[in-house]
Amino acid sequence: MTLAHVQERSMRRGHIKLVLLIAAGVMPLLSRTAIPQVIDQGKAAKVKAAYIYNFGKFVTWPDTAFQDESAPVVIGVIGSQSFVDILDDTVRGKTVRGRKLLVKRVKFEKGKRVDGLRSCHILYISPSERDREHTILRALDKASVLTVGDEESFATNGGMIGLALREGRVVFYVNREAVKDAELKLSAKLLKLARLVRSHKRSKVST
Amino acid sequence: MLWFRDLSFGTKIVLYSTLASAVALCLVVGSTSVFHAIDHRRVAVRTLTVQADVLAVNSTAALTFDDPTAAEESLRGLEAEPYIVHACIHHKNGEPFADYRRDGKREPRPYMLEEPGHCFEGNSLIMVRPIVLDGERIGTIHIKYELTAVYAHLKRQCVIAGVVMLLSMGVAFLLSAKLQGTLVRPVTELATIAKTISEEKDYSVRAVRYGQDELGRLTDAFNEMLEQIQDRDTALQRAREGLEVRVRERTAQLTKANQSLQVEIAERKQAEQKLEELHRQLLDASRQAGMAEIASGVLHNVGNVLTSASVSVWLAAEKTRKSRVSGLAKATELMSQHADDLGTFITADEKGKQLPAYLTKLAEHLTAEQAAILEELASLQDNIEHIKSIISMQQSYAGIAGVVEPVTISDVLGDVLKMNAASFERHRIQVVQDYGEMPPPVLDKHKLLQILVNMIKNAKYAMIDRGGQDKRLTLRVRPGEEDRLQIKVIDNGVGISEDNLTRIFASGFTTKKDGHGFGLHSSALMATEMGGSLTGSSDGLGKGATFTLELPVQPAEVSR
Repeated sequence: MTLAHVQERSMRRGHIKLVLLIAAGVMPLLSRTAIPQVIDQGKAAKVKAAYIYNFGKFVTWPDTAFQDESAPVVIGVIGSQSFVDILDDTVRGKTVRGRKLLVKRVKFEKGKRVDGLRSCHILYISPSERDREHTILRALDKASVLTVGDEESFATNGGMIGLALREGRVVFYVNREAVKDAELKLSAKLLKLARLVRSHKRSKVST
Repeated sequence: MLWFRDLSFGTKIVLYSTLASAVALCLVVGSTSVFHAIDHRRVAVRTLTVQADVLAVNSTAALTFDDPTAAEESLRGLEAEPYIVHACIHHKNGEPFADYRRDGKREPRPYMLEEPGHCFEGNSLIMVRPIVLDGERIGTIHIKYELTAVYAHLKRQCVIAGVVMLLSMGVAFLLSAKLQGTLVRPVTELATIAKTISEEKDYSVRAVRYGQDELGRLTDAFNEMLEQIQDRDTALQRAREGLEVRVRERTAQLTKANQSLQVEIAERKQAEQKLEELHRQLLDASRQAGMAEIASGVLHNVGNVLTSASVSVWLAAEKTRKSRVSGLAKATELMSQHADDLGTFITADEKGKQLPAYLTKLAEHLTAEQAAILEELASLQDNIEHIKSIISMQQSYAGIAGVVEPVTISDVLGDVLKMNAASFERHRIQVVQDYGEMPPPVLDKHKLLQILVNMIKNAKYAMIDRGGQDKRLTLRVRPGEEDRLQIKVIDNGVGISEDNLTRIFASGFTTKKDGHGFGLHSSALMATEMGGSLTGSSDGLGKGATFTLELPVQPAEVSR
């Protein structure tokens, strides 16, 4: 089940909550009446973008992850430019722990330097890169980058947080091992909400 | 509070101390309770703030990632706190997100506070805190806290405090009742001794001192005071003894002085008696002078009458001497010469012829003569009667002084007028008698006469002195006030000057050339002796005078 199905599930059970979630976390200026009854693909992407942004608030990076106090939190996106735009809209004017947010589209090519990836603080790997996700994750090699992807499998494949839609609600799977290896700290509050998973042996990130 | 004043000292002390401890305990319990209530509220607010904040922090993720279940799970942690009856989390826009109810009941009405803060509503404390994530407010948490337990606790505390207070008061009462003896005994003893002293006047007793405190000092002061009183008493006693000696001395002096005073009084009395004697003699003299006046009046009147009597006698003698009886004798002699031829003589003789006519004329003449002489004799007889009456009148007033009898005033006045009749006639004085009706008063006729004689004589002289015509004397008798009568002698003579009005009754004062000045003085004295008064008035010189004699109708009980 993908986020694209959010619409019908929401309609069935918890779309109000989702809408509220958007209103509270993503679009505080948007009034309830202005929210259309039909949530399209774009809306689902916005929800995802909000989640990615909010995760930043519950993550603690090591001090070495930032050059100085004013360095922004960089959110990298491997995927379509349209999502980059949506994410950019979401975080515009917002901060995480006093830091500004910078969204950029990054590219991964096998065998090339991955500095661009490692300089990110949050990296979203879209489902279109599923085939390469394992390679990408390995390339990061314990860099302090919070990796976010889709579905439980992302987490079990060595990613840190996998977003999924369950019973009309957005849930997320967290691989604490991966988080720990990257010297990141996730808030207990977040972990309380998360569904914890472990890496498959096959896909376990090895040193 | 009047009843309180009469309570004994000991009772007052017990009551005071019990009251004081009660008041103190009340204040302590009251202030403690108030403080507790305030403190409990403050503590509740603080605790609840902390609790709400903890929940808020813990709910950030749940709120952010839309997980009300997780949030409600967090809220269920409040079950440990029995007085939190309701808690809920709202989205920033007010939509409910998570809810916790202790008893499962629904809240009857929404909370009053929409903004962060707290308020007390009835027995509840409502706490509203914001849920903030990374500096951004994402929701609100409400918690309702029941304060009933706090109040119940306070109530319990108050009850306990009340019981403790009663116990304390009891203890205070017992203690003060036990201890008041040490305070009260010296005071009671002082009071007893003071009472004994005031009753027995024995200042030699002393109070026993019980300690060095204020009461001990009071006892000392009391004893010292007694000592001073005793000293003063002794001094007073000595002074009193000295005083007695002085009083005795003074009394002796006074007695002596009194004796000399009595001697002096006796001497004065003698002198007074002498004076009285002199006065009486003077009065007698004046009375005798008055008598002389009357006597001289009488003699004068008698003299006057005698003059007219002698005139009558002289006239009668003259008429008798010059009588024509000799003519008769000649006629009879002529007739006897012609006795023989009487008829012829009468008819023929020239002389004889005239004889009858002569005789007739002679008879007429003699008859007239006889009548004239008879008239003179009658006049003489009148005069003699007059003299007789004057003398008898004098006799009627003489030698009967001091005897009172009913007197007819008009008669006495008539007598006085008779005495003066000749001079009134001579000076052509008109007398007006105006006597009112009244019963005859009982009085000393002699004195009255003397007074009236004096009054009328004065009036007469006043009018003679004035001279001129129309001299009028008015005598007016009228009943006066209160059994008195008034006799007024009114003249139109020279009058009395204002200066002299006050002096006319003084002894020795007179305006007459040959007056002795006793007349009015003795008259006034006699009027006083008779219980009456003599007053004079005048409108001034030349305007006449009025003298008024007022006398009682009955003689005064005590005259003089």
